[in-house]
Amino acid sequence: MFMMFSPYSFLFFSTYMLFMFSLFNITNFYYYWSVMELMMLLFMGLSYTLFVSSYSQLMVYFLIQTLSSFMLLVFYIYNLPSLLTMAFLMKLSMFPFFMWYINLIYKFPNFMFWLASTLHKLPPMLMIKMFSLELNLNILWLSIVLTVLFSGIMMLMVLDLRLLLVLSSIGNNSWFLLSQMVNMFIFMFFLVIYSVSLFFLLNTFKGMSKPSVASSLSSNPYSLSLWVLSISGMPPFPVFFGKMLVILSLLMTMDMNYFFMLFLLMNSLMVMGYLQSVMKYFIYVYSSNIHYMLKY
Amino acid sequence: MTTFLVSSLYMFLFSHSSFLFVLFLTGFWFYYLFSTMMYSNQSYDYLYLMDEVSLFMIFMTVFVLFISYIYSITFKSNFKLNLVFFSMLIFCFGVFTTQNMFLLYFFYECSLLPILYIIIKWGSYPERSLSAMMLLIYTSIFTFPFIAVMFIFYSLNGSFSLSLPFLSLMTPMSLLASLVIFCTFAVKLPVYGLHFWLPMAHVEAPTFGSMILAGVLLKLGGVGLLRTISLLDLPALSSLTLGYFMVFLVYVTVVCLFQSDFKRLVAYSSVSHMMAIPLLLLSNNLMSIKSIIMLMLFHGLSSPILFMLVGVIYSMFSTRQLVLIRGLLLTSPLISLMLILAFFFTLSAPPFPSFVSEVYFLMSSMGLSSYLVYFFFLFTFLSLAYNLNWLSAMVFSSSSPSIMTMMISYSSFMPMITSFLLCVPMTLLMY
Repeated sequence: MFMMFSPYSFLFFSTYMLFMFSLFNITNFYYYWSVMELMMLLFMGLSYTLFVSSYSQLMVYFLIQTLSSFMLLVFYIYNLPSLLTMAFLMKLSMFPFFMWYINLIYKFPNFMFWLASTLHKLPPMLMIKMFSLELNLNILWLSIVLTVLFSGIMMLMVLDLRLLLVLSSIGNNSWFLLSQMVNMFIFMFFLVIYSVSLFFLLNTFKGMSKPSVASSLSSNPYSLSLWVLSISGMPPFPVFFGKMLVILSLLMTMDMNYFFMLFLLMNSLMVMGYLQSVMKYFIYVYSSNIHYMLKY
Repeated sequence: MTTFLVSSLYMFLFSHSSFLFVLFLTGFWFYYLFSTMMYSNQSYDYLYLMDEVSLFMIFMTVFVLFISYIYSITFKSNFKLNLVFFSMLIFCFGVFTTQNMFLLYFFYECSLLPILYIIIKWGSYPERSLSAMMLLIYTSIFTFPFIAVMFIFYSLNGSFSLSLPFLSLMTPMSLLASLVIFCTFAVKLPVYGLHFWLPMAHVEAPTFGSMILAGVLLKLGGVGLLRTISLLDLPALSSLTLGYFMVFLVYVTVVCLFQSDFKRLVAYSSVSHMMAIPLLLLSNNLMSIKSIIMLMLFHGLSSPILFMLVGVIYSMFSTRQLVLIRGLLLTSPLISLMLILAFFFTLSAPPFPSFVSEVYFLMSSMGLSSYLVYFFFLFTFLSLAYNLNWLSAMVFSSSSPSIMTMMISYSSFMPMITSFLLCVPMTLLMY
């Protein structure tokens, strides 16, 4: 596994997970903030030791994350909700600030990609609920809907499966934020289900290359498409139930507002993006064992 | 029920016999028939529903899966085939016997996966990926709007239940919501504007895939519309879409006249039969609802028979073009007997009970609009015309020089005549 690749990566990853589990128990905002900063540094160290293919992007990551962390700290102290919201959007790579995420994460190895998409989103999102931060809900809703819109539209024109997953993780960021608005349990549930599905999806990739039949790990050539269908929220798979839970709980607590309807409609764009990209991979699948005497 | 399912699953997973699924299927059907829920007047208290819709639809599902299983055993992969049929049975059973809107939607979307697998894995042309994509995208594009409407329904009524005692308390939803519900099911039951996936999927699918698709999956849309009819704002929907349905009912039948590929012709004939269903829904009489159930049942019985015939003829002639398949009356009279019987069945002609459904269609929709008599006349006459087209082209013409026409064997004849015989007893009960 990637964690055991070198002693440094193991150390960084273990400390990262230790800090991650300790985050649930920190009650002071400043301690939480400093643990979050340390986790960001550890993440950078982890990606450095696991051979990210372009080191200058790490500098971009560092600058953006430190900027957003300082913004968080300062605006928390001076109690400015709108700017605090903007700081969160920058940290989570939501609507106005998502291009850095695309350029950065695309070049990461699979394991770092998975970590950045799922577990690395946990500290900022936990912070919102644990300290009851005042966020400007108008900006937040606008950003959620527009994130899904932009990620959906970009997924429609992507040809590269890796880029599709990057964009889908940006779109699912907005699902995370929505699930946060009700309850921590729903957020954790959705996060766990999404991260497990994404992990198995990334297992079908070999190294950093795009998946192809020749290098597929399992004997089933449809496993990739099944996992992409599962992430898009197709019914028998568990991510569907996670999304249904989020929608139901959100409707029960806050009533159906305009932004929420728009969000659901934009989500259709994301689903289209997933399906269109995965269908292109069906062309490369060989149909096996056709009995040629009856060729219907 | 759970022990039955578990033991049958165990049996089916650990043995590789070819006809195990058939045994499971017949056991399933008899279990459904003889379960005690059928003998109570109020069926809404139980886990799954047993009204006349589900009774006939489950019969149709079992029948279609049985005859399409016979046509699929030539493909060597036993376990995956059995798994696909098993999952298809479970998902279709779920749609037909649920009284819960969420479960209806859940099983409706789940039933996409087996048919996609069938088309991709066992279809024969490279364009099948495009047709599978069309099917998937057409169904999924209405997913999230339907979820939104479903949760609006939940917040209005307090539960997802669609069962009988609560139907009178349900107020119809707004025009946009009912249009979304309508479009979600109108993709599967193909209404003309959203039907473009159907001819592609039928041509690319293997024979048993087409039989399952036309026999069972189109009816999922119809049953979905029937279950949610109390939510639809029918006067507003009819003012929006009645003219559209009337015109396109005749238009699809005209499109059938110009087809040269037999399988595509049968696919378009499915569309034309199903286009009558939204008209009957908008009428909302007892007679029109009965006619919907009958139409769905008989189309689900006759369409797989037609596809079966397409498959056998394709294996004989290696083509599906009507101009090339000639002279079957002389060289293979058994096939021509089957073709003539299938002709009468799909035409809704008097020896077969689907005639009753057409009569009910005419009678019940006169209350909706008096112009319907002209469209109905055109629909019936043109459906006679296109059916006669393929019948006279294939059967009543001079023979072609191919010697493959002599090589029909009884192994192809037996499933066909069995399927015709199995259609008759159940249909007698419809009277």
